[in-house]
Amino acid sequence: MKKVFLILSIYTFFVFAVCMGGTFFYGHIPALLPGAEKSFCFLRGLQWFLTCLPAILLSGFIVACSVHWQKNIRDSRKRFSQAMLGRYRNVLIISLGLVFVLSMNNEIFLPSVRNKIRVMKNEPGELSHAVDTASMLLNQNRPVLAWQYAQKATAIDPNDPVANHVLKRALDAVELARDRERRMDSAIYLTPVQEEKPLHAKDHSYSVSELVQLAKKAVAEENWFNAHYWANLAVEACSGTDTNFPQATEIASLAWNKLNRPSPYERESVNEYYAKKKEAYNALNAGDSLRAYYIFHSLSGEYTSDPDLLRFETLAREDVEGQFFFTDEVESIPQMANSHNIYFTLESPDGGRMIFFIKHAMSMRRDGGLVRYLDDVTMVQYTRAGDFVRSMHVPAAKVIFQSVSAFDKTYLEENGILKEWKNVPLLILQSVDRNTEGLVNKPVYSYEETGLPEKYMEQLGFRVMGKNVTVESTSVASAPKTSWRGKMSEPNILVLPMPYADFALLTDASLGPASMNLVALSDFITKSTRYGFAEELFTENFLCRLLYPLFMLVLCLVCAIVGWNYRIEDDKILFRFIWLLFIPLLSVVVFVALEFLVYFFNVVNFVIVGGFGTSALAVAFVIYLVLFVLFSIVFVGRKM
Amino acid sequence: MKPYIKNALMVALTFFAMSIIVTFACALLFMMYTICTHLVSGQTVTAFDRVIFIEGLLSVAPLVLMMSSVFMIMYMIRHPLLHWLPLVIYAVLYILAWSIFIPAIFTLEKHFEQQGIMSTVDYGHLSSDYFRQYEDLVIFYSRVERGNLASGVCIDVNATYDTTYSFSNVRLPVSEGGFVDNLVKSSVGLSPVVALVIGCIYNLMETARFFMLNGYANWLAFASFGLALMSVAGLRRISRWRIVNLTFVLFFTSLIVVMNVLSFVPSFLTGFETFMNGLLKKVFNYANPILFIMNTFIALALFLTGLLIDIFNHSDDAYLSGGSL
Repeated sequence: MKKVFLILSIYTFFVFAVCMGGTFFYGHIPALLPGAEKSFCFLRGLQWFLTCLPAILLSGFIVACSVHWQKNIRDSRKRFSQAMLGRYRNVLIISLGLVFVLSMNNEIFLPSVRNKIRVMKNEPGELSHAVDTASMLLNQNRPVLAWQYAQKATAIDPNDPVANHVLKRALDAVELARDRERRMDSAIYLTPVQEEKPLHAKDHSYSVSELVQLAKKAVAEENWFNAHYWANLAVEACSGTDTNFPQATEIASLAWNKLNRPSPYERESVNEYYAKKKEAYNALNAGDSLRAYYIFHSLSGEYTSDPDLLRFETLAREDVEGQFFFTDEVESIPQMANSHNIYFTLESPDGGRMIFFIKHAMSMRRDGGLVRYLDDVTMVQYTRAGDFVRSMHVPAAKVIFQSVSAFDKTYLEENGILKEWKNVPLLILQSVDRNTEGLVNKPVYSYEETGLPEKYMEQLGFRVMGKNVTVESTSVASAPKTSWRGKMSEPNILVLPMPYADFALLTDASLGPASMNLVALSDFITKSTRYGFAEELFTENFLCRLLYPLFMLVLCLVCAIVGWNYRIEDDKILFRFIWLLFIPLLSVVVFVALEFLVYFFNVVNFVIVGGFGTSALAVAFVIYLVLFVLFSIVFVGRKM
Repeated sequence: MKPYIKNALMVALTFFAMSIIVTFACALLFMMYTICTHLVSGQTVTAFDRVIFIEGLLSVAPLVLMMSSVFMIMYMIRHPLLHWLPLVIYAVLYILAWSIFIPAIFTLEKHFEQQGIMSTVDYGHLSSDYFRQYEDLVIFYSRVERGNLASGVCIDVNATYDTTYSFSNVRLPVSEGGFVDNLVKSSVGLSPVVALVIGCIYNLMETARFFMLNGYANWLAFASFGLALMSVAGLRRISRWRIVNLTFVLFFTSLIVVMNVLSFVPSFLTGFETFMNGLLKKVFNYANPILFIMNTFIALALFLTGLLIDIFNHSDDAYLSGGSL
């Protein structure tokens, strides 16, 4: 069998060299970032080689078998000879090795090379998209987002002069906006929401008597903010009959009176500080945590010695993060450069559909948990009957996980959330600047259909009902419907009725089943229809990939049979080097044959999936196993 | 039984058995593919459709018979024997296929078509609630009514701004590249190599039908293609390594098919062909005489090559007993 390996190895290396030489001679390099041409050529050559690898290995295997079985075959004059069984064992061992290499190629090598080539081809487009978007956002006076897109552009190509120029413009614009906003008052209306808040959770974990003790301690230290805070928590925590209730109420009332003294300090600057702190504290108590956050944040820069400030700023920030996110959190947008478009649907509790499209998404660990930042989010809502309701667009959003246990039973039922999901995604659609009040990105809701531009109508071959395609207007195919404007709330936070973990699956599923790994794919199959993906496509892909090794094993056996049937005629003839020149020709024949066989493999599997549903895998496995046994018998039954 | 008689009988058996098995297998695949082209995502697949299967049998049988020479040559390469009988049986069967079997099947197919027995595609409407990708556009139909009247969302995944459009009351095309549902096409659509080969075969079969409908004389002229294919048997013993012989036979068969297809469809050969046919039409009274001459020339060349190989190279092979050619 040494000769077999030698022939296979030399031939494989030869084809690799041909592919590498070919890709550099071929030219036809698409638009790439400067300096990426050589890497692209190498990857393209590698892709050619890996695409041809099954044909190379199988034709090499045929050649090797037919050379190897030129001699010492007189022990197989009868069918099903012992010698043939020995050969079958060797063929199986080599075939398993080949199948392993081919399966790895199919699952890992070829997809990753294709993906790298795709990324390289997309980079110029991503760069111009980021630069264009940054410029557009600057023109629209949205400097913070423009700055982030400019950062993304420079991350794709740090040497691009246009991207660097836009980044500088965006930075200047951000500074200008911050200066301007510092001089303006702005009002932001909040929607309370439950959220994971570590400090809140810690404070709420104390018992009533502990809270009363903390309040008493603060009274003794004349720290009235803390005294009021702890006493208030104690009052909230008390049940009607709790013996601590009167004491907690008394301390709260005392602390409140102390806090409302007009000028408690002699120094004017201290009184000003005290007034601001009280204003922030009042805002926090009134639920206006964003305002409270900004005041505490501005004070904490000036008065670093006050430990209360940090505590209250943290409490306010925890509240804010439940309703908004800070635009600078999306600093990871540059890393979204090569992430991709994600789309999925969700069924709303009334049976309607919400269709989501996210331009880019990025996951990262923050505050001990996994959060996702989304770029350019669009949601279109339809009724159960398929009528348009409204659409929503927001340039950036944050996804955090929300424990299902935080919702009561009625909420779960009304929103179609199942308890076993444990966590659901919570989409925060509003973002604010960390330092400057008033720089807000909000979702925009629209209750009118956009219609479909004519260029898309033509591309898709759509026709307006009852007419041929020629329509003068730029936007067609929309119909006035009952407007839902004013009849629905416009939330800034969306709780999505889906398990949080499925978000990662959807990111891959949007690229198609081929881009998912087998574990994720098997997990997604039963969920696919719920998210708007055809189950049979994902099942068929799963089936094809799972049975590919068995299918290739059958083909290896067929190759061994061909190798035996078409071996060198006479064992006395010397091997001629000129014969090897025919191997590439054989590879071409095998390549075309493989293309057909793999295609038929797909079609047959699709029909099996369509016909047998959940038992398709078992049925297909039995079919290929029968083929394997059949060809095994045919091989062992060979004779001279 | 004498080896050459057994060999000749096996050639005949190979012809009949392989033609039948391959025809049935191809008809089955034809049926599966056709079912997929009519399928809409979410529907259950009908595993067997008798009418489409018969249509498949009639469509692929002429092609399989045209290529039956390869099966017989493969047997003769595997079991080499220097005797005239297997070759004569090979030639007789292949000529029979071209002169009787293939025309008979075409006639039967035409008869079935005229009787309205062949399947007519019942294009249903697309299913809603699935994402479908059309190049850079992703479409989600929220509702599809009878007559493919749809509402939904169109997403341009490459657009910088204005990525999402909502629409209603548009009529969708009945089929997309031969498939009713683009989703099914994305899974079982033809790969580029397969599409190229199938395209060649389709052109070949259409041309064969055309010649058949224009009289038996024209059909015989087209059968020069068969003569060229038959003579590929001359290469069956070009070397002592059988895999080389097999590769050569398959390669030359493909070459003859491609050359003939290129002369049937507009290609770089069209100018030369038109000019030559203009001259030859005065002598030969049928379509595409240059092709007839070209195929006859190839057949002659391959036949002589085979004859020379058999006479000079291997006439002293002791184990190829059974008489000399």
